[in-house]
Amino acid sequence: MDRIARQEEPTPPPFEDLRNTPLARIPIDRAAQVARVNDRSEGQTAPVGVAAFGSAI
Amino acid sequence: MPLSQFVLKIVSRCDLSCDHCYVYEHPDQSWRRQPITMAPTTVAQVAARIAEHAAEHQLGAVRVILHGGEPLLAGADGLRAVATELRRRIDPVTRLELGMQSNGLLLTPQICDVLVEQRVRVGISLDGDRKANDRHRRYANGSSSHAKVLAALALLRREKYRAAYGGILCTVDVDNDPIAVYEALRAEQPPHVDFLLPHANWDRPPDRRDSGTPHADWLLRIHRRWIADGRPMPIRLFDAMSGGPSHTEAVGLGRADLVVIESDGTFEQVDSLKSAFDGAAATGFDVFRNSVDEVADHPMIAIRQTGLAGLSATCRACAIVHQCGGGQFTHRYRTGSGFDNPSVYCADLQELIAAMPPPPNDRLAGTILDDLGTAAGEPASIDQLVAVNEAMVRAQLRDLSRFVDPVPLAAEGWDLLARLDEESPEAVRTVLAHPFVRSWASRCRATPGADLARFAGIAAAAAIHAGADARITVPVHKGRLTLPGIGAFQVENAEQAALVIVGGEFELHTTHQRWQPSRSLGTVLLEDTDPDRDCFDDLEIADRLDDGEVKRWRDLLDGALDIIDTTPYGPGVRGTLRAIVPLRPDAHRERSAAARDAFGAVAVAPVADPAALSVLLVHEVQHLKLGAVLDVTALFDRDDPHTVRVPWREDPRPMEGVLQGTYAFVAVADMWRARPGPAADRYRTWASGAVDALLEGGALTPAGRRFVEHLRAKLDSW
Repeated sequence: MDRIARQEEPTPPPFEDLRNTPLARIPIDRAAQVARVNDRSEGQTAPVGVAAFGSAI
Repeated sequence: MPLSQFVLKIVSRCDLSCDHCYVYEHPDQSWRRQPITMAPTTVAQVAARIAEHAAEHQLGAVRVILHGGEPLLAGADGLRAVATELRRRIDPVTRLELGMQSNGLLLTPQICDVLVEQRVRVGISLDGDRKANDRHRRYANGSSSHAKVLAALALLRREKYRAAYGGILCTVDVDNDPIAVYEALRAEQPPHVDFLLPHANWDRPPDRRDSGTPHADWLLRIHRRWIADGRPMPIRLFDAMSGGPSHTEAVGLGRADLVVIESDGTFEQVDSLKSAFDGAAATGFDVFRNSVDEVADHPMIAIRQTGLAGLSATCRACAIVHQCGGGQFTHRYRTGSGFDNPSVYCADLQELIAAMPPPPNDRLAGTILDDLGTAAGEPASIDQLVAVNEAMVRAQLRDLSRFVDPVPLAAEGWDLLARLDEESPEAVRTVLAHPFVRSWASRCRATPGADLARFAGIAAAAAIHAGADARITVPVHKGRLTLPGIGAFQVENAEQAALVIVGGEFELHTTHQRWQPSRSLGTVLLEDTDPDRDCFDDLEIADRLDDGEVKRWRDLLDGALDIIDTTPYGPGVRGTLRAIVPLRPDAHRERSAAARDAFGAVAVAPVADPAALSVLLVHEVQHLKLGAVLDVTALFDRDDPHTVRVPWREDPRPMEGVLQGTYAFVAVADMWRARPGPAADRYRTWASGAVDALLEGGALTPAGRRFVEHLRAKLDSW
């Protein structure tokens, strides 16, 4: 019986192909598809006032 | 190239009179010359030709689709005879996948028995609910066919016939209610659904109505509902457009290795071409005189197997060509230029593909999302967000490389950067992690132009980190020649200057220059030179600081990080914070900001002490973290115009703003737990109210709901 706890496989982060493929060899359509995600987001989070602590914790 | 798909017109007449049919209602009228049914001798010759072709090319499988007209007009015996002959000849040679496309009207249990016995999977044409289906799919006397189609589908749903149920084919009509159509199709429990754009070309374009892309708009309404329902059945068009394998000739660059065989044994090209002009599908070949190899060499069939090379120049240069594939071949036709055009539905296809979510492997794992939903996040989760940003920057730079040729400095910069990325990837990674590379790239993608020349500064910075040798001309922007993360030269009276790099040491060849190195605050940059740091809306950035001010920031940050390290927010701040951008002092209030396109940067006005800075940093880093989550995870439906009332604003806010505010305030409230009092109570009340508003709002996706429920649990645990 295997009594050694099997270590959980780390979950690979998204877009591994983009990080592991040299820039010039990334397929253009793949790059465009991922870059478009950026176009759909709001560029700036609306500023909201936050009171910071006035002195040391 | 061999062909592996064969459409057999076993009957050349139909019992319906659909007014959108490409066979009977469009320019090609060749059906009038065809025998009504395919004779047994013709079937035998067809089977022999396919078997001969499969054997010669050692094909692993061939697909034969029984088609019409209406193939059910052949009756149970006729269908059995055709299928038996095909199997007798082809089964010994290769795997035969038999399919049929039918209107279903004449489907009977006897015919279903034959389909199951002969392993034929049938696709049924249904345009939606009764109102939608009756719009086109009527008998010649005008009466409805809808009830009989539903009866056929009910038959196919029976356990004993389920194996013969291939799916439903629906032709889009934008006058139909898309949700009613979707619900009607879903109710039939199809194993697959496919949508067909109505046949049109540049000579006979589709009706554009008020919208430029009515067909995309129509399909996207279904797509949103389908996603919200958890994709209850595969929809080929959507799966193909999301980057999955394309099983449809409507999109994708897959080989269209398909030929049609008419009831008289003549070979034709894909029969939807009949919508182009009379004789458009003809090849001049037939099964009695010609082999399948000869047909495969026909130029109009061969061109459809050449992938990208067979497309128009416009399509070949298009960024989404691999997903779109130029659309359906038929839709490209225009008198004069033939099929050497983009699809007449090009705008619709672009709209559709842009709206498709990324493939599943481009999302954060549920466990990572759950961890980040606690508002904090383990180092492994934070590493994933950093990786997401790195990939986003690389995607943007590669996408921008399409536009560099007209800008010589940009082209030179891109070439050097691409070379360094192969030779010294760590050096490139260091430079691309600088927050303002992404903000510059985002801006350039919106309006590619002269600013692309700053590719050269990025490449030069990478060459310096790599210890490489290079000579590169770098642009001067707002009086500065910027090397991201390294520093900037103040340059007078020049628009560009040559930078010589030898072993990582660099020298600028201009007469009037002043070097301003970037300064570090330990592991974080103090960014007070890069012109792109001015990206925080109306907040005023500070000018270059003197040494005393830098020391004060260093002490403040050291103290703030020490405080943050005692909280669950340490990994997030340590893992993401790359640069502090000093803002001008504001006597009236604390000021800080983060920008979605500047991952890793926090702008902040001078504060009283490290404790004050610690709260502001945690707050802003929450925005950075959630921004990276939203890069890869749809937490809410962006097309839902829902706004949400939140405790800290009087006006209702859009979903993304509410999520950002909530994520930040949960963390701020957590920080304030160390100091019970009115301020702590206020932040907790705000965070709690916003979480409830989000959960009640209805625009969260299942992943978004789960994420916000984790925030709820976090608040409830205090």
